[in-house]
Parts: sequence; structure tokens; C-alpha cells
Amino acid sequence: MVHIYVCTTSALRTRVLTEDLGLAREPDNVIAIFPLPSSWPHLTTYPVTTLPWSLYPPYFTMAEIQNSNPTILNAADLPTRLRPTATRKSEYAGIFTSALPLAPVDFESAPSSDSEDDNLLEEPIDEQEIYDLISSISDPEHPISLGELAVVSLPDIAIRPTLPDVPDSPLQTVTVLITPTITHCSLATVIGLGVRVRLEQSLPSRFRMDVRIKEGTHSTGDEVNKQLADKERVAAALENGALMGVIAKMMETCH
Amino acid sequence: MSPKVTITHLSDLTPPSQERTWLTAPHPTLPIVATCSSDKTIRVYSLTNFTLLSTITGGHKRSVRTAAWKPHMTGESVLATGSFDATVGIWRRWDSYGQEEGAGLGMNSGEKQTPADTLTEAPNGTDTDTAGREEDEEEWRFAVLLDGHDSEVKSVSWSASGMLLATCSRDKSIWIWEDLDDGDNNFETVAVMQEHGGDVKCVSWHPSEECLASGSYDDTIRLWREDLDDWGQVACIKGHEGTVWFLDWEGEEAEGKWNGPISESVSESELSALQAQWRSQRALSGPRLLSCSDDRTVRVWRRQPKESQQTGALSSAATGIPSIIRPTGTDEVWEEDAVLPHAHELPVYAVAWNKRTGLVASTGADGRIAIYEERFVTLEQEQQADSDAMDTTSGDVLRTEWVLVGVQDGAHGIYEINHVAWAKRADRGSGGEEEVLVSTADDGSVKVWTVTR
Repeated sequence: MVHIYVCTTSALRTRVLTEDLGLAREPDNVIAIFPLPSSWPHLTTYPVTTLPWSLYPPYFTMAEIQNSNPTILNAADLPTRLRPTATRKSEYAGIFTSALPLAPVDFESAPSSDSEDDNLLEEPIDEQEIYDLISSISDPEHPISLGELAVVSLPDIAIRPTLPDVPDSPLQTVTVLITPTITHCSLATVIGLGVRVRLEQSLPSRFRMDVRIKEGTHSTGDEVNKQLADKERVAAALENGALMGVIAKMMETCH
Repeated sequence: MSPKVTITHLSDLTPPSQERTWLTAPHPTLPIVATCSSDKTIRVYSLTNFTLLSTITGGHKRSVRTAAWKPHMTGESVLATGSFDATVGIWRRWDSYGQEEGAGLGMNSGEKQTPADTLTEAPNGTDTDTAGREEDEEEWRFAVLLDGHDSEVKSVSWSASGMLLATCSRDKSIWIWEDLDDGDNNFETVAVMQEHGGDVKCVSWHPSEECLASGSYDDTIRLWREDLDDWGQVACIKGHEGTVWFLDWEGEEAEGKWNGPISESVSESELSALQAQWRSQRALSGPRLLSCSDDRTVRVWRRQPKESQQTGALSSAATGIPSIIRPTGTDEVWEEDAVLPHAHELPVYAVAWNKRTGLVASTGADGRIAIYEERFVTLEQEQQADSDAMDTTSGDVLRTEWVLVGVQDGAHGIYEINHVAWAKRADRGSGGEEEVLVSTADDGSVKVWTVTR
């Protein structure tokens, strides 16, 4: 059964789900939040057909797709170490076909997903590994991965020492720049949170996450970045059932 | 940097929480602290033997973010806790930790402590005591739940008198509650202030006056006072370029104890002259305010003395737009007194101003604890170093500079540190009046440090 949650204009603080991480008291079954025209009586339920879909865009919805026709990259063309592909070679194929040895494509030896956890602790973690962790997350509104949508891409991932002036410090900062599919995508915060949660759950604690919207790709990028960098808000979001349900769904496709 | 203090690990508080701990609040008189954890509990530890005394459970449905002890209580301790569940809990307990733990912490005097007693702790005493305590109603009693905020409560603070409790939240509001002290745990809402443009991250009361400072996600620090029965904003300090995470006040000078700047390069008589000048200056502007921010900086703010405000108010960029409604008489002008030397590479989550020694401690996401000391800048030094030093004071104001005197990297290993506080040292190794630094981290650990000059 589909539940529609309706709020009046005066109760618009409930739109925290996208504007504000860490929604405190939302019912678990929210799929859309609407502002209503002020002339409407402040009832709590309306038949779905009477909702002003055309007048007011919902503040948050899983039902309506904002960008119904995104550019999708071929999954086989994405860089990965998890399965042997000729991705990075393919662009050179025309020139080097005969020069390259065919057999050892993945000379850095792909870790199997079973032993991944052990490898995380022992082997140095590089950008490719970060990419493999987050590219398989699904977009919240498309059944397509963030890698295929080019929301995350390998060149936009960087790892650097957190404390450059302390040479023996184990702390490292992982920077991930996110490119939303459209500049006003209201789900950018949720996507960013998904990436941050995925990394926090997968990487050792010595890593500091720096997940940001790539400059110039989003109308309210600074606002989203400030939310994503706020430890307290992220911590509160992780305790929020509704929001974590969305995040969990995005991660269903992860290895 | 000239390292002048030694930071030494004294002990961990054990057993630790298995989840993130946010803050540790030292009791105003007893040698105990309360640690807030993401596991929805508050742990009360002893600073005498560094072990867990009680775990307060059952009150909050989400992470406990903050806690503060009500001052001036005798015979009973009162703790306010703020949680991500949007509520504030008030907890009470008759003071009896001292007797039970054999540490001689009398109800009447927190000072009375015989070192021998701390050594003779009954090995099996704790378990039987716990069972007995519940029957004797000596456990923590849940007194009242203050409901009003719309979202996560971030910080709580009791006024110096203990009459007022300030709470703040992600809902951008600050609530002031009056503890009616009617024996029935009634609290009255005195004011709700909603001027902040973002989450209010911290509130902190002036050490003696009914003046509240708040720091926010909107990057500002605001000061609030009551004027003719109405609470209102008296200053809006814009200076930080990121969320203001924490605030602390300078201690007021106690009888015969110097907690102001120091100097090593002047004679005894010159120093006392400097101190006298400093005293009169502080008498005019009052205790300063210390802040730390997501912008990686730690700053000190000073109120402009009232008489010089007449000219300064118009030109100062430190205030917001003058209020039309409020007479300008209540408005205060706060100026940046200093930006402390750069010590943090990531957000600075907490600062603590030692009320007795004047030392400042800061900590944050980079897992580092930094200690700073304020020093007088004498005339000769000033001439040598030209004019562009750390300090920003001008004119007839006495010049000081802040020096980074100690750094502890990886104080909690690889983990972020969320809070740091000064507490009176109470273990048997202590000699006389001395403070320890208590730091609280993401892995649930709470560490106690000595800081020696």
C-alpha cells in the first residue's frame, strides 16, 4: 500500500529529509511530502487524486523521477578491479593491440569479494578501491549505479595524508567529488550521504571522509557540502529509520 | 612552537562505552564526570580511581549528545542531558559515591579526601553495592523530561546560579527554562529565541552574569540577555567561516590566584604592574569568550567596555544590523581579541579554558589535543617584532600573544576527539590544587591527562 504524507505550508519544516539531514520524527512510510495551498483546510489526509501534483512539486518523492532520461555509461566500460575487464586498455586498443600481452589483464590481482575485508586492513587502499566501493551504489531514483550514471568517477577520487606535518600519522583523507545528474537534483544530499555511509562502513577508522558536490554541478552545492561535512548531522541521520531505509535500498546493489 | 607544557596520559576511564562518546561533563564539586554516549546512556565515572560508578539508562531513545551538572547543589547531584531524540532529561541522585567507594568524599565537603582510603577498595564491593543501592533508592532517579525542541538537542548549560537551564537544537532555537525548585521537578519556559539561521550547536552561560552565548551552523556567535522581562539578542559576532562548534568563557579572577597572561622576560615588579593594568582592563570588559569552529580556528572575543562603545559601535563590523525595536543601550560590541596559533587540520570540536591557570585546550577531528598559553607582549618585544603579531588589540589596551605550548598527536589513536574539559585532579598522585584534562572520543574512550607547565 502506498502512503502519501501531506503537510501544510506552515508545517514545511518536515521537508528536512532533503534540506536537512537527520529528520527526527517522520513516519517510516513517507514517500512524498507536499506543501498544500494555504486555502486548503488543514486536514491530515486527502485522496491521492486531489493532490496538487502539477501546482507544487513534492519536496521529496521516491515516486516521481526528476531526471527520467539520464545519460548512462556502459557498465563494462567502468574502471574496476573487482572483475577482469579490458576497460582501461580499450581506449589504447587501436594502437597497442599487438603490443600488449593479452593474458594478465589485471596484473594488480583482483581481490575476491570474500577476502575483501582482510585485504582492506593489510593492503594500502587506493582510489580504485574507493571507486569499487561506491560505484555500485544505486541512484535513489533510478535502478542504475552511481558509476553508470557518472555521478562518481575515478578521477574525482583522491586520497591524501590528513596531517601532512606528521609523517608517521596513519590518518588519510578520502575526497570524493559527486556530479549530480541534474543541477537542481534535490536528492544530491541523499546520494552524498549514501557515499559517506558506504565509505564509513567499509573503510578503517583511520580514514576521514570528505564527500562533496563537484564545483559548479549543483545549484545549492555549498549548502549540500556543509550538511555532508557536519559530523553531528550525519550521526543523527544514521539514527533516522526513514532516511536509512532509503540508504539501505541504494546499497542493495553493493558487493 | 616552543613546547612549554608536558601532556602526560594519566589513565583511561574504564570500562569504556562500545560506541561513540560525545562529551564528558565534570561535576562542579565532586570528583566524578558524566560521559554521553551514542549507546543512549550516560556513564558516571570516578576521577579518584577512574572506574565506572553508574550507567544511566532508559531515558533517551537516541544518542545522548550533551550533559551538564547543576551548580550549587548540596547533598544531591542534578544532571541535565540532551539527546538526538529532541528531549532534555533531568536526573537526580543523592550524593553517596564518596562513602560507597571508600574515597571519603563527604556530602558536606568535596575537598575532604584521605589518600589512604582510595587504596583500600573492597574488591567485591562494587557488585553488592549496586544491588544494595537500588533498594536504598540511591540510584539515578529520572526526574522530568523537558519536551519542546523539534529536533536533536545539541547542547545544554546551567546558569551560574543554577536557576536557569539553556538548551539548543537543530531546530535553530534556544530555550531557556527556569528550574522552579518546587520539589516537584517543575520547569517553566522563560524564553525561546529563534534568531539563529541554522542549527544551534552550543550554549554556554557567562561565569557569573545571566548572559548566554550560543554558537551555530550559521557561523555566528550570539549573546543573549534579559531586558525588562524579555530575553533578546545583544550581540551577533561574525568572524568564523564555518560552524561554531563550541564555546567556553574565561574564568573570573579568584582571590589571590592569577589566571591571566604570564611573562618570563620581565622583572617581578614589571610583571605586577602588567598584572595590575590587566586587572583593571578585565574589570571593564569582563571575561572573554573562547570559540572553535569548522574553519579550523580557535578565537578569543572581548566585549568592548561600555564607555568606548559610543564611538566604536558605528564603525565596528562585529555587530549585526542595529535593532530598531530594542534600545541600543543593551547592545554590546564584541571584538576579536585573538586568533590562536594554527594547530588543527580538521574541524575543531571543543575548547576548554582552564579557569585557574588560564591555559586553553582544543581538540577535534584530527585527533590532536593542543594547549595554548597567553603571554604579555612587553614594549621591547613589540619594537623588535614590528607591529604585525598574533594579537589584534590596539591603543591603550595591554598587548598579549597566544603561544602554542603543547601538542598531543593521536591522543585517542586514529579516532576523532569530540570533547575536552578541565577537571579538578582527584587521584592519589595529585599534590594540591591541580587540573586534569579529560578527552572524549569517537571509539567510546575517555582519557585523563595531566598538563604540567
